[in-house]
Amino acid sequence: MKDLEINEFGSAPGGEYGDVEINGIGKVKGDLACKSLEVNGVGKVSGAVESNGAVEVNGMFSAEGAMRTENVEINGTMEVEGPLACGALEVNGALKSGALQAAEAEINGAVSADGGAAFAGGFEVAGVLKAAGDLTAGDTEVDGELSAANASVQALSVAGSMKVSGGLTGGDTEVDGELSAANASVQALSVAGSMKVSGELTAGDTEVDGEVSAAAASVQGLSVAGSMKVSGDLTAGDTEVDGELSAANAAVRRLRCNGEAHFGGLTASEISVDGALSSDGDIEADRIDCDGEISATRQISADEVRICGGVEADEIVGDRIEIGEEEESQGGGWQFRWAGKRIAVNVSGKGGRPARRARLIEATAVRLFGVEAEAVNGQDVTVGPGCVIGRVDCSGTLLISEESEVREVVRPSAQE
Amino acid sequence: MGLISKKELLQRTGISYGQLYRWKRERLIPEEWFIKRSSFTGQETFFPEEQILPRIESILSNKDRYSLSELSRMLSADIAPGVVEGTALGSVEEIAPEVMAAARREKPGEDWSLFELALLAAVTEAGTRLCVAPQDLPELTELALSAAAGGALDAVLTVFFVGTEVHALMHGANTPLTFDREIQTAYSVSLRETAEMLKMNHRALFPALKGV
Repeated sequence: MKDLEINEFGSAPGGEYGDVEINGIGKVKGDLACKSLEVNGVGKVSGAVESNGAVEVNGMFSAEGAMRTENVEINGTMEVEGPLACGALEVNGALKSGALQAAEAEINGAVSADGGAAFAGGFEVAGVLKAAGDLTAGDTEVDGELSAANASVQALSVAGSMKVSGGLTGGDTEVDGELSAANASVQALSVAGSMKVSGELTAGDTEVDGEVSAAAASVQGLSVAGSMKVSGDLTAGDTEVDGELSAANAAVRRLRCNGEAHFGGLTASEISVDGALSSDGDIEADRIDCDGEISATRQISADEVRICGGVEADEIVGDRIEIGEEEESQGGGWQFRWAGKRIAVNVSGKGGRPARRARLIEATAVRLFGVEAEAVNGQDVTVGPGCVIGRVDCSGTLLISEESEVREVVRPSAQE
Repeated sequence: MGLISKKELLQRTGISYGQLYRWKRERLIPEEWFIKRSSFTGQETFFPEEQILPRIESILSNKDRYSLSELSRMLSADIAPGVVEGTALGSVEEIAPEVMAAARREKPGEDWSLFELALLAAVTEAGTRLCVAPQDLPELTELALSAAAGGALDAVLTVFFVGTEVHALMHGANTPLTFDREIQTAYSVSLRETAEMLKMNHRALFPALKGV
């Protein structure tokens, strides 16, 4: 086939050519089929372009139809009114097309795809990619800006900015920059930057060193050193909080809170608190261990409750409850006596100890040191030094320290 | 509605605080059954007596056979166990043959919902307790079915005599009944408790429970 070369100013009819080169201002009137196309000046094809080889644009080029070619390298600007399908795509300048399809792509300039963008293989955006439709790609690296309606990718790395107005589906995801989506479902997730999901976030093991916000979240293991805010429900496996975590209702496996965690309600198998854990509702677990601060507007309920730090709740209930420690008592050792009637003793001062307060503490076995409560009910109850209790109702063994104050004691009547 | 205090509940059932709260966490005892009332000693918790005692009995009877989560599913009123084929009704010994026959005449060849099975078992229990003659059970069954239109599992069936005539009344669990002096004999059965007992005793009949 004959090659086509347009220098200075010229035009040629559409048709089949060999290598096509436009160095000046050239126009091909109609569809163009060629071995290769190189545009160094300003070129225009008033139809579709099909090339067996490469398309290289160093100047400006536009095609009124679709383009299908092996590889595309754009250092200038290219506009394709129809869809663009190619092998490897490299954009250092600017590209505007309809739906974009490439085997792989490296975008250093700006790409705007009016339709969707589909990259069969790996895909890198150092510049800007705006896909009006859906993005589909293999391993994706965003160092610049990427926006799409919905995105379905493999491994995802966002150091720049990625905005998905709809749903994001990905493999292992790393966010050092900013990522936002309506919904996101990814594998392992690591966020050192910022991730905002207006809807539901689903992920595998999740590590948050930066900021994450979502309406709802369901993840596997969760580690929050930064900040994670879930306005709705959170479901997670083993969870560690060194930073801040908040959610409406949370159901996790084991929770270790060294930072601050706040929930509407919390259910876990085990809870360990060295930081601060608070709930606007209930905190429920099989076991609760707190050396920090734990508070619930309503009820703290667990089989085993051991609190050495501070606690405030309306009710603390369960099987075995131990709040405070014997070693806290002053003056070395303390004395007990059986209490079978109303008694009143002075409270010894315990400055510097965190507040331990509840309206009701109720369990099979209760041991309290330095606790204020309106009522304590249990089968076996020990009221140690520093306690101020309104009423103790004990059906079994009762021990009350002389260094505590109990206004009323209820014991089983003789008939029971 | 009869209420029982938490303290009395523990004394009567012999369960511990630990058990009570563990079963609450496992949703074996609904939170709404913990009814807080002010008393001279402060705030106290009460339970609906007619519901809590049979529930605790169910749990104690079955806690060694099933895990707490299995029990929670079986006892949950939210579980819709599907319908039971009419041909399977014969295996439900809680429903008397006369009641079964009358029910089949009302709905020949059709499937039966858990609500309807609980109603038939409740008719059988009330009929037995009030010594309703076997030949009167079919009429009682028809009356109960007629009263049960649009009913739900949280209802109570009360069977009573007006003279020698037996009648059936469906009402809410929280609706106390006061009869006039002409009616001296009445017996009430909670459909919810009856349904739970049927689910427990006849797991094979309820496909949705088969995965448990």
